[in-house]
Amino acid sequence: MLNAIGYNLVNPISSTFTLTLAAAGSGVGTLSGAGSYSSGQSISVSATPSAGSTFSGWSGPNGSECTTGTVVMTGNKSCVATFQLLTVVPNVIGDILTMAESAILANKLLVGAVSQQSSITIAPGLVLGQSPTAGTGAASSSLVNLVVSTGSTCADLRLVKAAFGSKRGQTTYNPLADVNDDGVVNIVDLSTVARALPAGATCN
Amino acid sequence: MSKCFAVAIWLVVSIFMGPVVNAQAVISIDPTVQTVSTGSVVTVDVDISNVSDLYGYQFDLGFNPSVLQAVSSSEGPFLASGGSTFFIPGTNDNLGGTVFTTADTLLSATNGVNGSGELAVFTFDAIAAGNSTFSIQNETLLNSGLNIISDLRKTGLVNVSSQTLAAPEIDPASSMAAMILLLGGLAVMRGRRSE
Repeated sequence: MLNAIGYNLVNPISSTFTLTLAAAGSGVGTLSGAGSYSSGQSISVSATPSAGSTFSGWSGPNGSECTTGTVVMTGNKSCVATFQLLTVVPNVIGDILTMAESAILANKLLVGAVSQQSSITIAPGLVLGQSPTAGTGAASSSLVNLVVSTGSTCADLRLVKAAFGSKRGQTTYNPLADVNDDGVVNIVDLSTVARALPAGATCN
Repeated sequence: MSKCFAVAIWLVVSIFMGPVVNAQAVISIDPTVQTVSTGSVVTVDVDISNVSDLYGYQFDLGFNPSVLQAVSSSEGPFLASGGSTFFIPGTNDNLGGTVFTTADTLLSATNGVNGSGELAVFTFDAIAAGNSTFSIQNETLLNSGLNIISDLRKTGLVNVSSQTLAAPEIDPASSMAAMILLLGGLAVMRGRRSE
């Protein structure tokens, strides 16, 4: 049916559009921005994860626009927010590398970069550092970076020898040599450093 | 009946198991007692017995500085039987009478040593007559888990005697000849007097 000047009145151009936001994934969160809006209106959208969950991104027909945080209502639009349940990062400090890797995979995480660093106290081959730190939440399949000890050196042992027998406050006392920080440099410190030497080490 | 059976079991267990002996590490001085003369060198070993999984040790060795002066210390073979070691000979305090913080440790993640043997050897100069006790003090024994091993300690004693001059040796044959000559001489003198 046409009016007097010939415009179609049966399917007039709609001036109101719907923005649909949906959640997906193993986690939980809240979404804001969904609703009916006038044509041309700019709408802010957000996805806020609940405790123990993380927001991993937008998807759906208009996911890229939701990713910008603002949707311009030029038609009906929809986005999907994915929330993932956080997994607790295990403590792998002091583990041998293979054990650490197993623990990380068992928690649905992935092993990231593995670097090496000397340590005065931790034997070679054992994990001395990790990121993220143990006990924090991480999205499943996220990376855990590890630092593996290359052990102590003879120089470390000589450092303890130079301060051996000294007590905190004395001139020969060296806090670096007091490995267990008990205020005295003694056999516990010496043997701790000695035990962290690589296999087959000899020191004079 | 069941009481008798229980007693029988207890007797069998007691007989075959024997008393439970908790062997404890003993750190001691060897020799336990020695006598030397002034001016001589005194050597003492610090030994250990009945030890399990010894990874490292530390001790002070006390002595009487008016009788002895510490000269040197060296590593004994016992700990080194378990692998490479790092030995700290200690610091001589010849005024106070202590060799402080002699220490030794195995290297790397290895098991400690078991049994008995010589930990360290000390030498002293015997400077004056008198007695000196060797006493082990402030000792710490560590196992390969770096835990403390409990121990008993036994002292040692050295008696330093004054240096005495040796008596001249007398040859019996020469003595007899001298006696004959003396008697002969006396007889001649008597004969001349009677003339």
